[in-house]
Amino acid sequence: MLNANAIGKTFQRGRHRVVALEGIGLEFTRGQFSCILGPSGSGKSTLLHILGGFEAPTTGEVTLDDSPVVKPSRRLGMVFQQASLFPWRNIERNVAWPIEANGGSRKEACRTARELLGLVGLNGFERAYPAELSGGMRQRAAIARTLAMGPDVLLMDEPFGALDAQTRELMQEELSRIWQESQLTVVFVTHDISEAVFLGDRVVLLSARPGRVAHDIPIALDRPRNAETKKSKDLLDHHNELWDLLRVEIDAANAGAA
Amino acid sequence: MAEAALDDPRVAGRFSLPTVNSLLPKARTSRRLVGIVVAFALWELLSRQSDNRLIPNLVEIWDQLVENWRSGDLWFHGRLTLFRGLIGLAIALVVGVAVGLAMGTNRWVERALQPLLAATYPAPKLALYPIFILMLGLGGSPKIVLVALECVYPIIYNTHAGARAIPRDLVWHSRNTEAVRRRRLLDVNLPATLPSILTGLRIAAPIMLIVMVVTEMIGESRGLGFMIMDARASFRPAGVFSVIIVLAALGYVIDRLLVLATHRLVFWEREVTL
Amino acid sequence: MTATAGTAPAMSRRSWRDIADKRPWVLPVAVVLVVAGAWELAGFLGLLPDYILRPTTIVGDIVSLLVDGTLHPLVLESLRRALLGFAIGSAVGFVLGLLTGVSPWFGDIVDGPVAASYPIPKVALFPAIAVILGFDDRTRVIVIALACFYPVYLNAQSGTRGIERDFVWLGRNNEASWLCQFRSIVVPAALPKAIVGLRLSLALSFVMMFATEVIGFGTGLGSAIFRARLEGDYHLMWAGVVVIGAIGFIADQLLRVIGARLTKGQALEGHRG
Repeated sequence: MLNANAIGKTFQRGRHRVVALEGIGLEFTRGQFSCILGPSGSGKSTLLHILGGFEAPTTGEVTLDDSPVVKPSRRLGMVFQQASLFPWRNIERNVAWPIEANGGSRKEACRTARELLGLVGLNGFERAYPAELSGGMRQRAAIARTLAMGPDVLLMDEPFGALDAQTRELMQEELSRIWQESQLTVVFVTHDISEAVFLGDRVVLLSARPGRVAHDIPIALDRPRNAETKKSKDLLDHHNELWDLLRVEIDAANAGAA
Repeated sequence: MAEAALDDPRVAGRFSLPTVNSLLPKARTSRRLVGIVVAFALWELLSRQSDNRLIPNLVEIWDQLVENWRSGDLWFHGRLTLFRGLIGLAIALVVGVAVGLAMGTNRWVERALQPLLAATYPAPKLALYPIFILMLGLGGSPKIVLVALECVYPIIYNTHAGARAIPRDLVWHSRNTEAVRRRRLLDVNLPATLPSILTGLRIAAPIMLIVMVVTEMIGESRGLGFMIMDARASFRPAGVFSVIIVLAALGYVIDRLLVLATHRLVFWEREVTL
Repeated sequence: MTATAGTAPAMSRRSWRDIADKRPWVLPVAVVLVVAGAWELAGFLGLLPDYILRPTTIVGDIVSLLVDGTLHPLVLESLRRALLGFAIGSAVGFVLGLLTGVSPWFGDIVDGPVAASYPIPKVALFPAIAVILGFDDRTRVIVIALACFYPVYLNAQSGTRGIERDFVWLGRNNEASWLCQFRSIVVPAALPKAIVGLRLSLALSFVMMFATEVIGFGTGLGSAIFRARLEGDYHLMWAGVVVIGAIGFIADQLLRVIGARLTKGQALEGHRG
């Protein structure tokens, strides 16, 4: 459904040339939860931005259902690392905005917003302002807001990266639950292996810069996944396997920098 | 997962009516008052020591102030100054925000205009006043145009800076929803830039007063600037100083009103102490 | 955006952007030339009222007025006043601003009257002081100095506020004397903001110079421009306006360059040149 064809991205800053991505070819099928993992600086976020049409690739092309992606669209909803809700609106109005912006009436938008907030577990907080909520709650609201766009694909840029470890664990389970109910296609960027294994149907491992697809590994864990899954041996095995592979890439990155 | 209790009044960041405290100047240490009191005392001393009538003492100034008010002069001239000045400021606000937002959202507009604005900023635009008089005749219009011209600079500068500083994610989200440009500008760019716009307005307001006063001192027969010149010409130094005090008070009140407006309009930035 | 199909238009767009980035003066100069061209054309076609002169006429006037010695003394006289006032006001403002920034008790005492007098339009003080000293050069310089004091004072003071705690602790750790700390930590750290204040102050000095010349029968470039309007001498008027603008611009650029030299290695507070 979502295809990245021979994506390359080179940054030019004055005299410096940085090849962030090279020859990325990936396919994301409908309803699949894909995680993108890689060492720091491997261009994971850049790849996500390109998938969403927020940045243009230097070479290659992204297609969604065979039509090229050249600019941001409602079909590819982005969730940012910092929730980035509008501080001047309360949660309900934040989630309602994409619908209003699309021409919906205020009443209709708020109704849908309330439903979505219920889905992400924020019932009762509709009138709160972003500044009044904790990090985890803000991220849930951000997810609800992106869902309000009615996207086909959810692009998530390390959404739990700014949260503390405990909140992160809980949010992972929440996200898994939300995904089960909505069955969207998800592309999830993270640097946390356990997170990638727990959430994903497959994990794409990028190499050190220039980022290439080093490995594309299916995750054979039963669905639905929950707190129990986290204790399972299969998850640990996947984790170790990926850690070893990732290690190779990190060492390569450090060797390159030395 | 509720951590912040929403019924905690400290947490509620929404519309709470400003208390009297936020209208009055924050009570700084008494040292500040000491400085002012000392300054006033020195003035009084100077005035009574030198026996030329040219330095009025504080009592005389106050009496003159009251007299000006009672005679209706103050209201007549002051209202005119304010009226014209505020029109000019309003024009500057509309034009300034539009240009500033354009510069903040469009790279080409920024590249074209910013060097021009920076280059023309140090040139005293008061020099153009005679040309405005030729174009618009004597009276209020050239003053209003000059006020608008002078005040537009800080507003453009601050709006531009604010528009450029909008967090990338907010802009990206607005593009993500494919909302039309006008909607994005009004719903996202404008509110996010609002704090900077208000800062620019706070800087522009005293400029408005200065320009009005200067232009009213030159061959004009009305307004607070005229009042000053008139008092000087009729050898009433207390009159001169009384109007100066009125001007200072005006400037102070306008500034406090803007601070209040900022508190209400930018209700989400609680940390800012102004 | 495939590699082949997209290259031609993408290339030209990128090269426009390169030009704009490498030579930032191209675009604004182009805008100015277009405007000046339209203005000239309007004059050529006789569309302008008689008090708006054509750009070429103005340039010619400036040259001839310089040659015949009319402009020269006016400019010098006004500049002298402006710069003198600027120097005095800024110097006092700089020193006081720094001192009040580092010393809380001194700071509050001085800050009181300064903050209270800040809202007064300094130009209004001109007639007030003139009451005592008359409308002469001394008064003008005093008023200009007063006006120039405030921006530098406020900015220098603000510059002392943001000094990183670690720098202060470094000074104490080294048991450096107060004077040494002041000289080597406070002054350089506050300099970027203070220079912003200086630039504001410079622009202000030109405005005040102009205003004080025009109020109460002055001499110099400003009053010459105003008188030129009354007498219908549009040539002198326009020439004067352009010259004053040019001087203000040049002075500001000079200050910017000097300021950049002095604060090498520190980021100026978002103030672009």
